[in-house]
Amino acid sequence: MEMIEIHIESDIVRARQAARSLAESLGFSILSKTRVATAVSELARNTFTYGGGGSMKLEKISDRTRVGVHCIFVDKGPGIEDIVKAMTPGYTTGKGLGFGLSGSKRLMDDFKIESEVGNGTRIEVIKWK
Amino acid sequence: MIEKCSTLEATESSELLKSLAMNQIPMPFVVVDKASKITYMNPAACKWARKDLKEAIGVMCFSLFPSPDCTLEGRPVSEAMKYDRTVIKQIRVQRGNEMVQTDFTAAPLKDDKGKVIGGLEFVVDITDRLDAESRAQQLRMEILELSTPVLSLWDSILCIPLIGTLDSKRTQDVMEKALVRLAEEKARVIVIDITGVPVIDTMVANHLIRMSSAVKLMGGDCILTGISPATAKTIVHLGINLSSISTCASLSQGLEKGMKIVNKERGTQ
Ligand SMILES: Nc1ncnc2c1ncn2[C@@H]1O[C@H](COP(=O)(O)OP(=O)(O)OP(=O)(O)O)[C@@H](O)[C@H]1O
Ligand SMILES: [Mg+2]
Repeated sequence: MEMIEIHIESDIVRARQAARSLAESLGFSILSKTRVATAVSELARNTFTYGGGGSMKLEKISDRTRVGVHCIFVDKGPGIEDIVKAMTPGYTTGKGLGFGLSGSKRLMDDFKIESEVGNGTRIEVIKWK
Repeated sequence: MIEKCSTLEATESSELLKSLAMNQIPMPFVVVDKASKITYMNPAACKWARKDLKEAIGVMCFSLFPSPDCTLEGRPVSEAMKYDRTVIKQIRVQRGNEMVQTDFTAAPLKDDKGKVIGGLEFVVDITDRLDAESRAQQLRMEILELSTPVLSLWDSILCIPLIGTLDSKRTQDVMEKALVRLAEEKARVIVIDITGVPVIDTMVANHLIRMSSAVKLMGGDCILTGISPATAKTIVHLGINLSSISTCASLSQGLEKGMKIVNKERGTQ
């Protein structure tokens, strides 16, 4: 288990490098590694930009038949008012393209988002090998 | 008997050790009473203040270690004694004619019953550390500059080989630089090669799209090269539409395309 604090922009790079090397050590394909690194980059950037910073917990996960990469992003920021809207491709309250959340959901196998206005956001994702 | 002797020796040498250490701590160390009058300072502090210990005793500490960065009550040692806690501040302290950047630490001095009877002050000169930090910052800027070159590859064709991780500042910098060069050199085509970029996320894609529309507005064309199959698939999965930018698999193909554009226009002129 690895905790990565996300408080400055270069932490985003650290987070995605850590996730990529975990995926690498589990024998992920190039495509799967790229997907993991990209999704982590998106979620870590949201944590940094909108969540006012937070952390990523990175862990290997396994069940009887498979192994995977498991990441949990937590911030104590303003939270997301309308999750359905935020998950809509092209929706942004900033200057982005608005593809980060919907895109990382598609890039990963499991995607769980919880958010409470005024209390922060928690996003949990898994990519199986 | 023997035991007693050895303990005596141990106490003696540890007293000696204490005084040797106290006299040789290289950073200034000052003890004050509750009114901030100096009751002791080590040789390093005497050297800093250019005073003998005898001259210094009884003097207000802020007159020997004046700082433009704090008021009388706002001095670290006043705060330390008032709130009974260690206070560390980065302040400037005068030494002779110069202002020295310091980490100024103050702590309450307590008697054996825990009552605050004065204060302790440590001054660490951090000029060198700050210099090193600013040099490192400078170096980072220079590397940043170096690592995003805009090359004139051919008549009217510029090339930007992007390498490494792109944070928002670096991406912005190189895009701006490229647009300036495009205008200056009246170039027609910019080839952006991303072979060396490990991750194209929405932020980088966003910059590429904006760059491409800016180049179009200036009457030019943007060609994106070096997208690996994994990156291409991932971009599609993210949902990003890069179809407004023309792409080529390799840098050489991109150059070829750029030269065709340039030659075709020359031919029709
Ligand atoms: N951790 C968070 N805390 C608060 N709001 C968030 C958080 N993550 C996302 N959001 C909100 O959800 C919106 C959509 O996020 P998404 O990542 O999809 O797009 P974006 O970050 O705006 O742009 P892009 O990711 O394409 O650069 C954001 O604009 C923001 O309002
Ligand atoms: Mg985003």
